[in-house]
Amino acid sequence: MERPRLRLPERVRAGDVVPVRALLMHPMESGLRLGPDGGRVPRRIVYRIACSFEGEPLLVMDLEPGIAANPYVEFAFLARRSGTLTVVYTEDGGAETAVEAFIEVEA
Amino acid sequence: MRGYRLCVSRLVRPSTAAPGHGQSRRHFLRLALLGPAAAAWPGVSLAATERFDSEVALFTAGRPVRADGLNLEAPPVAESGYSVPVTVTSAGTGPDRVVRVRLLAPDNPLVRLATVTVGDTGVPLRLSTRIRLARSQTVVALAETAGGQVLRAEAAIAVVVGGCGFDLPLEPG
Repeated sequence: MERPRLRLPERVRAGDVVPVRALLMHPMESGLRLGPDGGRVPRRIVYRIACSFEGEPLLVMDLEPGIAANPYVEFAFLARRSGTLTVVYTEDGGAETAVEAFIEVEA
Repeated sequence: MRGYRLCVSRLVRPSTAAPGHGQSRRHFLRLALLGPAAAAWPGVSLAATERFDSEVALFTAGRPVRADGLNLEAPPVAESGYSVPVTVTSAGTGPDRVVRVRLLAPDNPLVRLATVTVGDTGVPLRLSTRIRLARSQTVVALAETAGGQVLRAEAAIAVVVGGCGFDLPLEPG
């Protein structure tokens, strides 16, 4: 899988609402599509996106084939302390790719 | 070009009535035209309504559904069903904080789009993603609050070109 892209604000102060934008380039093959040979293209999607901060789950998204290719998720959380934000993508078959970023929360 | 058939849908404004309304009408027309033959028609739309209803029942688990407290933002017209941006928001905090969200597309071959479990983010819910739509329809968001209440919001989206992630009918099982 490709490397996910994670977008965060450059500076974060305590009490800020931190927007998180995460994107992964992935075909999200639905399993309901015909290939050039007329046969069914097997399903291969990212079925889970798990975002956590210092091990605490912030958001877990279970995806179905109805999520568009290159799955994108955007949400926000409250900056309370510095720490590492981790986003893990799991694909059909169990392959994982992850991205993480350290967020320095200024007083 | 068999797979192309479903990909191009006419620009039809989805009905603002309850999802499935237009489907029943289509189903009725089909029944009227084809008579008993329609009952054996594969992928007949009544089955889609049933799939949607059972998804809603699965989430609500018998609890009453509130039509306020949840918002689903989406474009009224989407040029392409390949990728349609949707945003779910809720101002609820404390016991009204949203802890789980499910997105449903009643007229997609697979009704369920995603389920999101929200942790202690410390802020009211604001969640965006991009979905596939096979045709024009009213997308539904269901949410569960920390206090166990079920909220519902919906957005009618007219799709000019259907999402081609779905060429094939859903196989049983």
